[in-house]
Amino acid sequence: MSVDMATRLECGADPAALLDQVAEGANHPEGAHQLDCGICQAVIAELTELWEPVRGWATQDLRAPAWLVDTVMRRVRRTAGTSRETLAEGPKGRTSVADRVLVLIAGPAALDVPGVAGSASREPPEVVVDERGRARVRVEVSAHAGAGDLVRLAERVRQAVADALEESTGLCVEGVDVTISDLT
Amino acid sequence: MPEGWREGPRADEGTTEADSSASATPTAQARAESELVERATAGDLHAFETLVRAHQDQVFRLCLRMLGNRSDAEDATQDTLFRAWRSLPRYRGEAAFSTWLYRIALNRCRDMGRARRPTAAFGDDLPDPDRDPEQCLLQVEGVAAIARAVACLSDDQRSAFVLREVDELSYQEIADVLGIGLGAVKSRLSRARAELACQIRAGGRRR
Repeated sequence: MSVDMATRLECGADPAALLDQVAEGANHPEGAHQLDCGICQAVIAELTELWEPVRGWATQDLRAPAWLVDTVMRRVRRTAGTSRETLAEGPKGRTSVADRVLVLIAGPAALDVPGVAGSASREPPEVVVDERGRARVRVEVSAHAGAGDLVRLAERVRQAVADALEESTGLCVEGVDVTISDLT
Repeated sequence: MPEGWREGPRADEGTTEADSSASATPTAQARAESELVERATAGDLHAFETLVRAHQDQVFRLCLRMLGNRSDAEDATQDTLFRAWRSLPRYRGEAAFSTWLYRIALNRCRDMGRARRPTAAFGDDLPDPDRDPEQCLLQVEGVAAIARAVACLSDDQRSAFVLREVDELSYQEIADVLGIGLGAVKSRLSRARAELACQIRAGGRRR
């Protein structure tokens, strides 16, 4: 049996209404008729089976990827231009730098390392400073094809970025995550 | 720099009202969320991040089911949350924050959908690899068939259908998100289901 959804059943019931009932998991809204009607019961059984995979599809556990929050917040911070870090604070005042200044220090330092061909991403480096003034940097670069040992290249990038930030700002650089995402 | 921008304490750290939301009543949760929205609107990025963490899965789920593939859904989710940030000053709190986010997400999905027809990707719904391979194959085929059939629905029908079946919104909530009456919601849902039933029977093939 394969019910035509656009045509009323022989008993007069609307198959679309029966499908709504099945989809909603509702109980006999039309009362006694379908309880005693073999046609309705057969159609409900057919539609229940038909709808089972839809239920499975609808209730799958889908989650946003773990990186999404950071990506969104990076965009937000860049637009807001609000993020800043305090470098020194004393009775005569406070010295702060905007995060974009830290990015402007870290980015060129990475790009100046021999073997680095350029930035490999539209995203600038990310510099996150925690409450205790420790910085963690993420930077993505492309390397020259003949750059040789990429692990050593990454180590040089790591050192250059940490040195530049520490020298310019006095921040303690806790770590620099380097991704080499292209060879040119 | 605009006046009022500030970075308050992380809403998920220390003693804040948001901390207790997991065990709080719906009213308390709504109040905590309302405070987060207020702080985010004032420029508190940590409050906004807490809102993003709380709502990213629901936005992603909606986008994935509307657009049919993971890559587009990731883009649409990012855009939705970023647009939410930029539009926060215009959010008046007349609708629930999640309702407002759903609206932004659906608009974004519609914009992306105009550029390309929704697709039904196979890789988005991979089953548990520990299961029997034959069962996995059946599961993948079943999910793909439903996804193909859903992709054949009109935008209006798919929106109502996904909000009801996937996000389990009430008819009234769907009406609020879509800006239509209850009768229109019921009608769209009913037509979407009937259309889907026909598509599933036809093997999810495009009309």
